[in-house]
Amino acid sequence: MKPSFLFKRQNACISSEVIDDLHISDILTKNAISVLRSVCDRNVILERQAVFKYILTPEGKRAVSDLIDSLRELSKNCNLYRESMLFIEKVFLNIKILENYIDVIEKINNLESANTVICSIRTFWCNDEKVSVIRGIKESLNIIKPIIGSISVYDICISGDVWVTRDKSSVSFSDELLSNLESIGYKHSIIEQKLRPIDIELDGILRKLFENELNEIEQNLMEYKQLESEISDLTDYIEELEFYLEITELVELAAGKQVPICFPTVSDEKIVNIYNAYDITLFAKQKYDIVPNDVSMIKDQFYFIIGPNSGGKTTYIRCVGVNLLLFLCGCPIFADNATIYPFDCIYTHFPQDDQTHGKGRLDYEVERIESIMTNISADSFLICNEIFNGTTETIGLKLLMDLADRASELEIFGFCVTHYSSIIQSSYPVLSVKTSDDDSNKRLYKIYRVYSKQQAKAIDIIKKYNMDYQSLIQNFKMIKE
Amino acid sequence: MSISLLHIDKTNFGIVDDATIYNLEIENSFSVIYPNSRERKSFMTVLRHPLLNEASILYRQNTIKDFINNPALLEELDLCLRGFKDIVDSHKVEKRILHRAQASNFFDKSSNEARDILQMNSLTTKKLLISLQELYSILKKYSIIADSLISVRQKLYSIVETDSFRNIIETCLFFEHFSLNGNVNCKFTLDESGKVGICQLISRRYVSINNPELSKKKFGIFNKKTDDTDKKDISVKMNRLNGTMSEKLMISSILDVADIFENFIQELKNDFYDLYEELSFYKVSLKYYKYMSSLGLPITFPGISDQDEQIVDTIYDVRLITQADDVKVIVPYSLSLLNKNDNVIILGDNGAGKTTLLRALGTMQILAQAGLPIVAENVKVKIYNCILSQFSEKEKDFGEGTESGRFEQEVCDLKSIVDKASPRSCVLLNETFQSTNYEEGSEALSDILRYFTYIGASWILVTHMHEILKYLPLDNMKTINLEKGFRFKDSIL
Repeated sequence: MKPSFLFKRQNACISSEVIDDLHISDILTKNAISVLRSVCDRNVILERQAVFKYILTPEGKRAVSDLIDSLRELSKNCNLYRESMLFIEKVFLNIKILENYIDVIEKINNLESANTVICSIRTFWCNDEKVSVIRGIKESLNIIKPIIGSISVYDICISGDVWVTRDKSSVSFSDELLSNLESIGYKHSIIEQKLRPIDIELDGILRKLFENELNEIEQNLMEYKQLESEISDLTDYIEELEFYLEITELVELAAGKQVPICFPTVSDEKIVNIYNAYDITLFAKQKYDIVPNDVSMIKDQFYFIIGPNSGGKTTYIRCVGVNLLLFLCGCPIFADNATIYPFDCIYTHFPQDDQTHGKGRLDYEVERIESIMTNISADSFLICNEIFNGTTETIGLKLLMDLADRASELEIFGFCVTHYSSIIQSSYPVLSVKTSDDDSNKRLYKIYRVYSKQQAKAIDIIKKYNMDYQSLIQNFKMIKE
Repeated sequence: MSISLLHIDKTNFGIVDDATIYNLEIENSFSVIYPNSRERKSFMTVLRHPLLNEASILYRQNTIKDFINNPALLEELDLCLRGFKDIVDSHKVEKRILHRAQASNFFDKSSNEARDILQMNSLTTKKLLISLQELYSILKKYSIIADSLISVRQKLYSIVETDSFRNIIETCLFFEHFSLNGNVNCKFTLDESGKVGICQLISRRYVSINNPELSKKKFGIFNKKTDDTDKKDISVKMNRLNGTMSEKLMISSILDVADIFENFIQELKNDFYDLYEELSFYKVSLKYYKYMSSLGLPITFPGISDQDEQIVDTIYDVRLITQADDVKVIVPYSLSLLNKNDNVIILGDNGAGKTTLLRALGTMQILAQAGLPIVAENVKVKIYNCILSQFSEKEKDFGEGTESGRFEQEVCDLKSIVDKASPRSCVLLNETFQSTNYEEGSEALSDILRYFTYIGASWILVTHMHEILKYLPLDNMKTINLEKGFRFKDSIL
C-alpha cells in the first residue's frame, strides 16, 4: 500500500459544532478542516510534526510547493484526458501526462527530509524499477516531441471552400504588427486567446493530414497505459499536501505579525502547559495585535472563567481550543512553547441562538451537555461558553456545579466561561480577565487566576477623545510601532 | 510609466484636505480669476495633491514658464490634444454602439461583427497616429525648456519618426477595408493539451508548384488547389457552414488583430489622453499669472528651501486681491521664519488681519507646492507632506448647537487633524477653542500644539488667547502681534 504524507488518518471524532464554535472555518479551508476532524495518537503527532518541521524550512517549503503544483497539473490533465472524445487532444494530453508523471516523481525524489514519512514516500516512488520506467518514458518522449512540434501548427484558407494544410512557417499579420509596435516602444504582452477544443471534423482532418506522425506517436505511447493506477495514487497526495501547505501559510502569516509558533512536547501525563498562546482566528477579523495568554492545567482539571464583557474570555477558550486541536493533529501551535497531553477528542458548547431546535434555550443546553457527557471520555477536553444563562442564577449555578462535578469525577480537563461571578465561591479554580488598575477599567485581555470574590465591573469609563498630551504621545508611539 | 505634463512621479503626493481648501477660500479666489468651472475643478484637484520635492515643483514651474514665453503653444496643444481625446471618446461610443465593449467573448461573435470591429479599430488607430504626428510637429515648432514638454516631444519622436510608424499606418489602411469576400488565410497552433490556442490572420500563402511551366510563378495554393489533385497529402478540404469550426477559427483570427489594435489604442490613451486634462491646470495657472501681472502686482516663482528656512517677502493674500475694488490699498506682509521657528502664533486685535495673514501663508504654501508662482516679491518655502487646517466655526452655520456642542465639534475636528498629521505636516489653526473659557481652552490647545511639535509637524495659530503663551515653550516658535491698521492703509474689510 502506498505511504501517506499524513502517516495515518484515524476516524473523524471532532464534530462540526467544535469547528464552528472555535471559528476554525474562518482561517482554514474545508480540506484542512477535514484533516483536523481526526485527532491523532502520540506517534502520528510526532511524525506529522517532523513533516511540518521540514516544510517550514525554506527548502522544504519550496520542494513541497513544487511537488503540489506538479501534482495539480498532473491531476488536471488526467481529468481532461478522461473527458476528451478527440483523438488529437488525447494524444497531446497523453504526452503531457507522461511529462507530468516524470516531473512528480523527480519532485518526490527532491524531498530531502530524513523523517520517516517522507523517507517511506521517497523509497516507494523512487525505487530502481520506477527509475527504469522513467528512463524509458524519457527516451520515448525524445522521439515524440519533435513529431508533435511538426503537427501542432497548420493553416486554413477560407474562401469558396475551406482548406486545411500543413504550415509553411507563414508570418502572421499579428506578429508583424506586434514587431512594429514594439519598435516604437509599445511592447504588447502576448494576447491569451481562449483555448478552443477542436471539433470532430477538424480532429478527423488533422488525423488525415498527419497520419504517419500520429501513428508513430501512438506506438511510442502504447507501453505506458499501465501507469494509470499509479498516477491516480499520486494525485491522492494533493489533499494531504494542501493541508500541510495551508497550515504552513498560516504559520507564515503569524510570523509576519510576530506571533510565535512551537511544536509542543507530547506529554505522558495529563497536563496542558502553554506559554503565550495566541488566538489566530482573530486574523480573520484583521486583528493582529493579539494579547497572548498562558494555559496551565496540571493539578486542577476543570476551570471556570469569569470577568467583564468583552474582556477576552471567549477569545481565551477559543485560543486554547484551536491550539489544542492543531496540536492533536500534529500541527505547530501558536505559542512560545508547550507541553500537552494527547487528548482523544475535544468537545465544545458555545451559545447559538438559532440552534435550539424548537426547544427552550435551557432545555436545549441541558440536553446538549447531557449528550456530550454521555460520549465524553476521561481523555477528552471540554470547552463550554456561557451555558445555562437562560435561567435564574440559582438554577444556572446549580447546573454549572453539576457539570463541574461530573467532569471532575471523570477527570475531564476543560474550561467553562460563565457570567455567574459567584462561582468563585465554589471549590473549582476560577480564572478572570485583567483590567487596568486605574479607573479607566481598560481591558488588558490577560487571563489570570483569582482566589477571592471579585465582581465584574459593570460600567466602563472611557476617554472620549484621548486628546490630552500623554494619550496623544502614547497613541503616536503605538502607531509608529 | 506614462508621460505627464504635471508629474515626474505620479505616486508621490502630499495631502491638502478639503477643509483647508474651503477655509483658505482658494476656490472662491480662483472662481474670480477663472470662471470656467470644469477646468477650475481640474486645477483644484491638482492643488489637493501637493508636490513633495523640489524637482517635481521645478518640473511644473518650467512648464508654466514655457507657456508664458510661448503664448500660442498652450492654445495649439489644447486644440490638438482635444482632437486626440475626441477620437478616443468616439471610439468608446462606437464600441458601445456595436455592443462589444471588449472582445472577451469573441467566439460568440459573427464574422461580420468581427470584421466591423477590425475595421473600426484600425481606423481609430490610424486617426490617433495622425493626431500624434500633428502634436509632434507643434512641439517641434517652439523653443521649450520644460522637461515635461521635452519628454512628450521625445516620446512622440520615438513613435512618429520611424519606419514602423509608417508600417503601422499601412497596416491600418489595409484592415480599414478588410473584406470577407476574398480569401481569408489563417494560421492555427495547437497548444500542449491539443486545443486550438493561437489563431492569426496571415497574408496569402504561396508554395512552389513542382511544374516546369509554373515553376517561375507562385500561386496561392488555396486558390488553385482542388481536392482531386495529387497534392491531397498537403491540404484537406473542410466543411464550410455558418457557425462551424472553420468560421469560428476565422473569427478569432480576425479578432486577434483587432485586439492588438484595441490594446494599442488603450495604450496610446494611457499615454496621451490625460494630457488634455492636465492642460486645464496650466490654462488656469496662466490666467492667474496674467491676472496678477495685469494688476501690477509682483508675481514670482518661489524657491524651495533646503535649510528649513522660509522667506516671505512682500506677500499678498490672493483672496483679498480677488475681492478688492482697488488692489493698491492692500498692504503686503513680510515674514521670515528660521529653522525651529516654523511654529507661529499670530496674536492681535479684532480686524487687525490675523486671519488674512494666516490665509495668505496657507494659500502661498499650497500654490508653491503646486508649482505655481506666488503674488510676492520673493518667496522661499519649505515642503510639507500634509497641509491641514481648522478654522473657528463662528463663520459657519451652527444650527442648534450649544456652546458645549460647539466645543465638542471643534475637538472632533481637531481629532481628525491629529489623526492625519505626520512629521512635516503644516497645521493652520484659526481661533481654535475660542468657544470655551480662555484658560481651559489655552491649556487644552497647548497640549495639542505640543503634540504637533513633538511629532515634527509645524503649526501656525491665530488666536486672541494670550494665556496660551504660558503653556508653550517659546524657543521654537515665533509670536507675531498684529495691531489694528497694520494691515491696511484703508481697511476694506
